[in-house]
Amino acid sequence: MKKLCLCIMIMAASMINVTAYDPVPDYKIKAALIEKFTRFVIWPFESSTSNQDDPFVIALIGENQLGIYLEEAMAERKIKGRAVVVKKIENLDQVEGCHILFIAQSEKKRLASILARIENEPILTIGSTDGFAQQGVLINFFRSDDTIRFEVNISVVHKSSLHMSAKLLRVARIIK
Amino acid sequence: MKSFRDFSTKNKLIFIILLTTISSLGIGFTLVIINDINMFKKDMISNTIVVAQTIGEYSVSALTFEDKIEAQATLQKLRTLSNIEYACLYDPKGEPFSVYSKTDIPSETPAVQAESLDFREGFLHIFQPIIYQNEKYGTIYLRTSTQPLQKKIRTYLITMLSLTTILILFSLFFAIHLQGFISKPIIQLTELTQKISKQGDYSIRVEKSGEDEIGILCDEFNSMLSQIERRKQEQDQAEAAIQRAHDELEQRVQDRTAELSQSEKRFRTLFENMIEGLAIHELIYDETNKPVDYVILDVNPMYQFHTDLNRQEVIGKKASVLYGTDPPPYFSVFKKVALTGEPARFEVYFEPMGKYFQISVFSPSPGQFATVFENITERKVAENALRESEIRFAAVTNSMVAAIYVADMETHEVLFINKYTRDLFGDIEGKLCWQTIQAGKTGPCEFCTNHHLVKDGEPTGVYTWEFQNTITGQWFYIQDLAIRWIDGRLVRLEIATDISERKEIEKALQISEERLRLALEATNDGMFEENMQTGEAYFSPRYYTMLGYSPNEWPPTLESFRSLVHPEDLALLERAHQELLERKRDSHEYEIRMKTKSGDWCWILSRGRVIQQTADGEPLRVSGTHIDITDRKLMEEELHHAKEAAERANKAKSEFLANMSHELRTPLNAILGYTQIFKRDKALLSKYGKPIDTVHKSGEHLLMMINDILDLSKIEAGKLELSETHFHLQVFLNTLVEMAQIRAQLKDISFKFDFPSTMPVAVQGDEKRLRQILLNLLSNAVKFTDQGSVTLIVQTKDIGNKAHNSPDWTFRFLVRDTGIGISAERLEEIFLPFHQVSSPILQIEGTGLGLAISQQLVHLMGSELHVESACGEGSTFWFDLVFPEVEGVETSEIKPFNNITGYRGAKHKILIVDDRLENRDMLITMLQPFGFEISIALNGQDALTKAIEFLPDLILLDLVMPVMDGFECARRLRQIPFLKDVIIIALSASAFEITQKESLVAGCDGFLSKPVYADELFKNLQSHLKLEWLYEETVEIADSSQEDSYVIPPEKELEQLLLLARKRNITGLREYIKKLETIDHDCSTFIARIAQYSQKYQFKQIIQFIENHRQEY
Repeated sequence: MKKLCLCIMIMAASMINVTAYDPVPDYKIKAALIEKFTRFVIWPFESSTSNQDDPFVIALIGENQLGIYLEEAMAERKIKGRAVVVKKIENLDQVEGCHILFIAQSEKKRLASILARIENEPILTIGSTDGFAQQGVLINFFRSDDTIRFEVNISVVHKSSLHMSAKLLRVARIIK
Repeated sequence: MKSFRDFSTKNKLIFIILLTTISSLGIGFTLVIINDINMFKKDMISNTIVVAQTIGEYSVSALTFEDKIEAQATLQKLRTLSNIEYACLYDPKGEPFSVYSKTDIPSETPAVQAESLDFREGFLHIFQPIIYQNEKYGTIYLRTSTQPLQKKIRTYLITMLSLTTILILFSLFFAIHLQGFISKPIIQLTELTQKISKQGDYSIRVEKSGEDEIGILCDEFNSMLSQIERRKQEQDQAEAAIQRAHDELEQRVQDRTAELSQSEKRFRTLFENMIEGLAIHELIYDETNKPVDYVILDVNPMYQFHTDLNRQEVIGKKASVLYGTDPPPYFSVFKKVALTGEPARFEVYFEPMGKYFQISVFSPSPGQFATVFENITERKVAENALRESEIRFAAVTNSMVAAIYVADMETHEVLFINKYTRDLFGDIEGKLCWQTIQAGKTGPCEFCTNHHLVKDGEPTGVYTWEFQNTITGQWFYIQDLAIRWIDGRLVRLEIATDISERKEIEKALQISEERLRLALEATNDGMFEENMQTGEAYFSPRYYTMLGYSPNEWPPTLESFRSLVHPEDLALLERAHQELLERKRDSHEYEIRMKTKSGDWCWILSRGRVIQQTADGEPLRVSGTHIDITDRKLMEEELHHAKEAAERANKAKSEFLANMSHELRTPLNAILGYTQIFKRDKALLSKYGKPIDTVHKSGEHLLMMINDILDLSKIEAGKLELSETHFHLQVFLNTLVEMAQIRAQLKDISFKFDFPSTMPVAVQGDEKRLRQILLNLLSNAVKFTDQGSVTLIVQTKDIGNKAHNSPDWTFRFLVRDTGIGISAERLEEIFLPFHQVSSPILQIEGTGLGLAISQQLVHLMGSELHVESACGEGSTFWFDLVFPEVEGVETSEIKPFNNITGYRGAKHKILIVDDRLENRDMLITMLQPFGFEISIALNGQDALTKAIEFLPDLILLDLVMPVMDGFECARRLRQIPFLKDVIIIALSASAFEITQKESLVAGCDGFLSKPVYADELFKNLQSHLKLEWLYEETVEIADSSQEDSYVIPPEKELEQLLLLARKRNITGLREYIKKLETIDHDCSTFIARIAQYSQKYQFKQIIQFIENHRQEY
C-alpha cells in the first residue's frame, strides 16, 4: 500500500513537473528555508500563555505551487510546538490567525494593499519577487549565483511586533 | 661496596641530614608543580570550551542556511587567539562544513566525534556540539596548542632544580659543622678502645665529656676496665699451675712411648722378617653399616715380594681399587673372619704370577683382619706333575687297542690292567690271571709260567708269539716281558694285540695277488715294479716279449730300462720320476718311445703308482704297467693333422666371408647411395623413376642376401650375439604390419593381424633380431601364398608370473598362411640352411637361409621355432619368447627426410674421409645440396692434416683405409686439443658388431654401416649437430588450397578419429578409416587425407587436420 502511494506521489510530482513553469527544486528549498526562518523569529504568542492546540498557520496568497512543497516539508513537523497548517487564501479576510503569509509574484499589483491590510498583525510576510522587500515584505527570496538567498527589510522588522534573531540577520541581505 | 652500616658515624649523620632535606624538598616542590600545572590545564580547557561555544553560537545561522562564507568569516575571528591552531565546523550529518587553520600548512580534518576533549600530540583537541534552542545544528572542533603548558613545566623544573641545589648546599654545610657534637666523643672512645686492645694495658681510663648518654657510656666503660684488670691477674696465676702439670704429663708420656716403641720394634722385626707375606686390613662400611670393602693398613716386605706391589702404593688403598675387582678378592671369607674373629685358611692360585698361595686369615681386632700368605707353588707344582703323569699313563694305557696286564710271577695275581683288558674281562685286579683271563684253566698256564722272561734274576727281553683263540677264532699278537714292579720284585707284563683283521687282510691279499698275476698274464700288458731308493726293478716276462726280447734278456734295473728309452723322451721320464720323488704326485702316466730288439721305436704308455713308502714317507716302491700303444699313436697323429687342416680351412672361410662381405658392401655403398640421391631428384624420378627403383631394390636385395650369408656364418662360428634394448612394442608391431601389408598388396593377397588387447608398452629384447625373424617368416608366408591370406597373431600368455609381480611376459608369435604348405617329409629339413621348399616350376627368390637363420636366432633367444603344415593347406610357424616389461621408452615420431631442402642456422663444415673415390663422391653428392661445407681426405694421415686446416664440425670417417686406418685416425684426432670435441661418425662396410664397439672405443661418436642410408645419415647429423631441417613447402601449399572443398564427417566420427590418433593406435585408426571409406562417400576426400597421414604415422598432422576442420564445422 505504501509502495502504491509512493508511486502515485511520484507520478503526481512528475505531472506537476510538466505543468509548472518554476523549477521544482527552488520550491523545495524555499519551503525548507521558510521552516528554518521560524526558528529565528519570535511571535508574540510565544510569550503569552496561549492555547497550544492552535495550529501554526502558513498562508499562501496568489498563483503559486509552493503550497504543495510546504505541505510536504511541514508534514509531521511542528513549529513552536504546534501542528502546522498550510492553506491557500483568496482574499485577505482569510488572513486572520495566520503566522506566515507567502505572497506570490501574481500579487505584485495588490501588494501594497495586502501589506496595508496586515500592517499591525504579527505576520511574517515572505515573498519571492524582486522588489518585494523594498516595498515592505519582511523576507524576500532572491537568486544569486545559482543559490537561493534572502533579504530582510530591517526597518519593517523594527516596526513589526515580531522579534527577529540577529543570527538570521547575519546571513541575510539587509534592506533598510 | 661498602654498606651503609660500615660508614663512620660522622658520615652517617651527614647522609641522614642530606637525605631528609632532599626528600622533603622534592615532595614539596613536586606537589606544588603538579597542582599548578593542573590548574593551568583546567584554565586552558575552560578557555577553549568557551571559545568553541561562542564560535558555535555564531555559526548557527551559517549552518542553518548553509552559508559557507558566513561560516568562514566567523571562524576567521579565531585568528586573534594564537593558541588555536585549527578549527572545523561540521554540519549535522558530520560532514566538514568549514575549516580554519592558523598556518597555511594543510592539515587533515579529523572525523567528527561526540563531545570530547583530550590532550595528545602536543595539542588539546575539543569537539563541542552546536546546540540552539535544543536543536543540534552541527559540531565544532578546536585544536589548541599546548605549548604554553610545556613552557610552564620547563620553567618550573629549572626553578625547582636550582632551588634544590642551593638548599642541599646549605644542608651540607650545617651537617658537616654540627655533626661534631655527637660524633666526636664516640670517636674518642673508639680510639681509646683500640689502644687498650692493642697494648693490653687495662690501667688506662676514659675522660668524661658530659652527662649525656655518651658520658654514662664512659663511666660504665671505665668500671668494666677495672674488672678486666682484676680478672687478668687471676688468670695468669692459673696458667702457671697448668703449665707445671702439663710438663709432668709430658715426661710420663715420653717414658711410656719409649716402652711402646721397644715393643713395636720387636713386632716390626717379626713383621718385616717373617717368610710369609702379611697384610693387615680394615673393613669399610657403607651408610647402612654393611661392610662393602676393605682398606689395606700395612703390609710386610714379603707381601711386596710375593705380590710385586710396593708398600707405599698399597697402604691406605681400597682393595677393590687396588685389585680392580668389586667386591674385592675373597671378601666374603675376610668379612666373616673380621666380624666373627674365627680364623680361616684356604689355598689359591694367582694366575698372573703363576703362583699358589696358602692364605691364613685371622682378626687382630674387631673389624680388622690380617692375611698371612705362604708361597706353596713348589709343593703344588710337584703334586700337579704327579697327577698329570698318572693321567698320561692312564690315557696311554687305556687308549691302547691291546690288552695289557701285569701279573705276579709267583702268585699270578693280577696287579694292573688297562681299560681294554677291563672291558674284556671285567675288574680283575687282585684276582688270579689263569682263573680270569685264561678262563677254564685249572692251574697256571704256559702264559703265566714263561721261563724265558727271567734269567739269573734279571729280565731277558721281549718274548713274542702269535696265538689264536680256538674258540672265538681271534688272532692275538702276544708280547711278554719281565719288568720291575714298584716294590722291586719282577713281574710279568703282557701285551696282547688283536690281529685278526690283519690276518684276514693277509689272506685276502694273497688271493688278490694271485688274481692279479693271472689277469696280467691274460692281458698283453707288461708289468713293472721298481725301488725308487735303490734303482732295483722287476719286469714281468711279457714286458720283455713286448719289446721283442726274451724274459730277463737284460738285467732288471732302472739303468737298463733307461738305456732303451728314446733320448728325446728321457727328460719326460726324468720329470715324472722327480715328481714322484718330491711327492708332488703319487702316480705317473706318460707315453714314451722305447727301442725294440729289432731297432724300431715302439710307443709305450707307462702308468705307475707308489705302492709303498719308506718310514719317513719317501716313495719306496712304484708298481705299474706298460702298454704298447704304437698303433693308437699313429692314428692319433693322422687325426691331429687332419684337424689342423680343417681348422685352417674354416678360419680361411671366416676371413674370406668377412673380406667378401666388406668387398661386396663397398660397391653396394656407391650403388645404394646414388639410387637414394636419384630418388630425391624429382626431375630424374619423373623420367627414370622405375629404373632407379629397380636398381635400388636389386641393391637392397643383394645386400639382404649378403647379410643372410653373413648371419649364417656368424651363427655357425658362434659369433652372433644378441644386443638387447628397450623398445616400444606397439610401434614395433605397427611397423611390421606396415611392411607386411605392402608385400601382401603386391601379391594381391590379404594380410590380417590379431594383437592382444593388453600388452606392455615397452619391453626389453633384441628388437632388430626379432624383427628379422618375424619379417622373414612374413615374407616367406607372402612368398609361398598366391591366394588367400597371411596372418600375424601375437598372443600374451598369462603364465601366472603377473601374480608374482614379475615383469616377464610370455609372447607367442604366429605367422599363418594359406599357401602351398610343406609336405611331411620335407618338414624335417626346412630349418637346414640352403633348403628352399619349392617346386622347380615356381620362381622363388631368396637364399633359402631365412628359416635356418630364424631358427638359430630363436634358439639364441632361448626358444624354438615350430612349424605345422600340410601340403596345399598352408603353414603355421610359431615361437614363444619371454620379454621383461620395462618403463616406457621415448618414441620419436619419424619425420621423413624426403622433403629436406636445407637447415637453419650457421653453415656446418663436414670432412669426408674415405680412400675410395666413389664413396667420397656419393657422400658429397648426398650432402652438398643442403648447404654443408665439405672437404675430403684420402686416408687417416691425410685426415689429420686436413682436419687441422679445415677445422670441421663433423668428420665422416671410413674405418678401413691404407696408410692410416680410421681407428688410429680417431685416436690421434682425440689427442689434438682443439679437435678433441669434433664429432666423428665412423663408416664401415664391416658386418661385425665388434667393429662398431671398437670404433666407439677409439673415440668415435657414432657409427654408420655401409651401404649408407640417407635417412640414417640425416638422423645422425640432426642429433649430433642439433640441426633444424628446412622442408619443402609445396606440398603444404597444395594441401591448404584444397582445404575448403572438404566435406567434413559427422562430429561422432571425428571424435573417434581424434581419440585413436591421440592414442597413437595406428591399427585401430586404419581400421576405422577403412570403415568410414565404405560408409560415407561424401567425405571421401577428407578420409583419404587422414588415410594418407596414417600411412606415414603422422599422428600430429591428423590431430591438427581434424582440429582445424572441426572448428569450421
